[in-house]
Amino acid sequence: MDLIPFAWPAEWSDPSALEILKGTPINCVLVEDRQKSAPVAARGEQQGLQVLEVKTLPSSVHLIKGAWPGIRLSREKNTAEGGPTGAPWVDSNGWAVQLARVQAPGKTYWVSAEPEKDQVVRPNTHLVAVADAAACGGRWIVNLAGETRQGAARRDAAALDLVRRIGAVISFFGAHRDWSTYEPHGVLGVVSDFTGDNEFMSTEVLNLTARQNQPYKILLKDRVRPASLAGLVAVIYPDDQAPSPELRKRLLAFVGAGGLLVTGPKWGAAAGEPAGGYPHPRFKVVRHGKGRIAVGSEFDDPFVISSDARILMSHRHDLIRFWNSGNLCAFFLMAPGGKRAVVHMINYATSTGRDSMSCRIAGPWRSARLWMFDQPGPITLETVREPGGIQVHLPPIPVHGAVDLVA
Amino acid sequence: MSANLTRREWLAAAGGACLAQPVRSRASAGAPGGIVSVARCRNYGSELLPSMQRMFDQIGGLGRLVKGKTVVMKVNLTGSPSYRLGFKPAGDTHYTHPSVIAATAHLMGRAGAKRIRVVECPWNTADPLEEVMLEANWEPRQILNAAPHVEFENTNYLGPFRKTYSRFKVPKGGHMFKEYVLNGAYEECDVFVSIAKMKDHATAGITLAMKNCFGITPCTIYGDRSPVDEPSPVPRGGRGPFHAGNRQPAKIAPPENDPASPRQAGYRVPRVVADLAAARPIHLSIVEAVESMAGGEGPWIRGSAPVSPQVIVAGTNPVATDVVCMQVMGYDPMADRGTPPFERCDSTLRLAEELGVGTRDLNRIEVVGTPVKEAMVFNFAEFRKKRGANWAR
Repeated sequence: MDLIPFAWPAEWSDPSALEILKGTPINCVLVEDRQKSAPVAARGEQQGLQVLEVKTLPSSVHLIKGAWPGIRLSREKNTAEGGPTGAPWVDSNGWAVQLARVQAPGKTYWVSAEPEKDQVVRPNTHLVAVADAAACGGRWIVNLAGETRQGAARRDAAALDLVRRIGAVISFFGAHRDWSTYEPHGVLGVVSDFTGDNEFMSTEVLNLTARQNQPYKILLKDRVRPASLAGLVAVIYPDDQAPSPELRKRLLAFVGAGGLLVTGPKWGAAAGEPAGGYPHPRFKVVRHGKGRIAVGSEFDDPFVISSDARILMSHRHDLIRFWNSGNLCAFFLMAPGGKRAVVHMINYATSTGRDSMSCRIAGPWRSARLWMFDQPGPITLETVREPGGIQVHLPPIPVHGAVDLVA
Repeated sequence: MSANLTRREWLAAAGGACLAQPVRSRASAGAPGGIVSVARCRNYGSELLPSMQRMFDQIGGLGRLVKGKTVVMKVNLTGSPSYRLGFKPAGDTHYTHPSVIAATAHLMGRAGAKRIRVVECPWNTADPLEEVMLEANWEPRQILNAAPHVEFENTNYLGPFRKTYSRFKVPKGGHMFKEYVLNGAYEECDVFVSIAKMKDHATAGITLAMKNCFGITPCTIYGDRSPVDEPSPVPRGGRGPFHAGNRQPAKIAPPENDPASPRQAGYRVPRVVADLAAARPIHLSIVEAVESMAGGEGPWIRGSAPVSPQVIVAGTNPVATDVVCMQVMGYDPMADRGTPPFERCDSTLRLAEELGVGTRDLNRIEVVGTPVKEAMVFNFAEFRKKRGANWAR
């Protein structure tokens, strides 16, 4: 059974609140303690819901402790907190789901998160949370927060309508289950073990690379094979240890064939002729075979690393390029065979600007349709063909849109 | 946009347009007047190169200006490359169109320029200019391949190739600053060219050949977030201090002449523009509006709209060129504060004239090519009148 979970608020003792889930695809209630929530469990099971304890999830479930997605808002001023570039800080679980898919293949990936203590939760971030996880093949554990939680307990119309819309987003992704079989498409690889001392840096590189709308592939360093590097233009090796001799050999072979390696001082000295071109202030770039090795002198800021990597490999290799996109982030997934793809676009701000948004998507695409959960069917997008890709003109995307591409 | 044009293709596109035109004499002696060429040009395709060739010939030919010289071309890439007016490419609205830059570079190369350096201080970044262009969806090779020895430089900071900034004194002491400190590219330059977009401007009324060069000032020194003492290594933010006067530049540059001057953008920005035009003389001004926008200088100005004026103006004196541009836009070049397009600012043209950069006297400016009346396909002044002068960002 495909479980669609709802996190039962610990402070809710009235089982009649389960009524709010009727008519939604939610079929599973997670409680902290089944004994303490016995009336809820009994009523839920009468209602046909599966009731599970958080601590005893099915073995097929891989639980990801995530973040409440959206623009980080300060309660004091209800304004956006700044990220590393002064741009608003965006919380997303997309990278964590992608990483889990690589680290624990074959599982079902549930994402659990509570808002931070002072985090302002806009109602529509409940919808963003579902889409953010689902876009990358995960499942958000539906969790009502802030005023929505209080409103749902009171059966306020606005809160109930939001629960209905959460259900609509879940149903939307359920109707497009094939997308979850698509694989992340990227020309940039991030190689790490993503654990221990390397966990913070490597996962932040994933998080902040995604924030810049740079799709990537995750490569576990003990599983790097020539085939897993195929199609990549560049690889970031951010770990704080020198690579194993085998990994070094494989990455050097990738570079020798024309790739770019972006790494830090722990890689060791990179011998070779200077690569020429625009000198980079933070990297020594040398030639190796047909490719380049860029060794950073300052390699401790994951945002700078991901930004620098993008410039070192060049915007020429952008798979996605947005205009007027505000705080929208994209996930690019390719169907097996490469004839179909989907670009999920998630608006973490949950408000649309006044400017028309457009996007260039690299690839041999002949048609592009936009799906949105609250639209009855796909919208055929106006496209402009150009060398190496297409431009699509997009309508406002308040929460989530999926551009369905056919080659 | 066509990509990867070879020099051969450029030559083919040029057709027979390179037939020499007679060299015209200067309109008058004394304070610079000059010849200004106006051309109707309906598109950035087949008409562009012949039109520009003809214009350059009409103002005396490029050869005498650039042969054997290092040419620096300041283009206009205002704002972030990820910003568009509607769905329009930036080159069709607020950026100098890449085909105009490529065509100019090509004609410069053909006229014997030794080296052509395309420069700009792009918004908030030390990234190479090529990368900014790619973000705007340009193909930089279109420009790099337009002539031999074309290169790009981001002049918004010191850059990786230079050890020091260069100093430019303003004749007569300057309106706002007696000296500006700029990237060395502006000194390492025999011929300085401003390739601008013809647009309205929320602060300065209009942005043409001279206002384009407001953007030669590095934000590492003159920016919102430059340090007090030394320039920052990379630029962050915009040129708020020029607008608001809320702080002085980093101490490598002299402070403003009069710290008690008005803290009002409409007073300050036109004076900085005039100062820069005097300090870093512009030898060739090209203002294009084959496609452009009205009502503002960028998509961030509410109420602005894409327009198709189908015109290019070029001249050897920036004041004279801007005078003719104002006429083409439907404005009175003698207008000053309180009169469109200078409702809330001073006239950059008058201020530049005061520094001896050029003249607004139409009797001393020879206009060649398409008569101004015929070139007025789109009337910016009428658009402004209908929309009103209340600007909002």
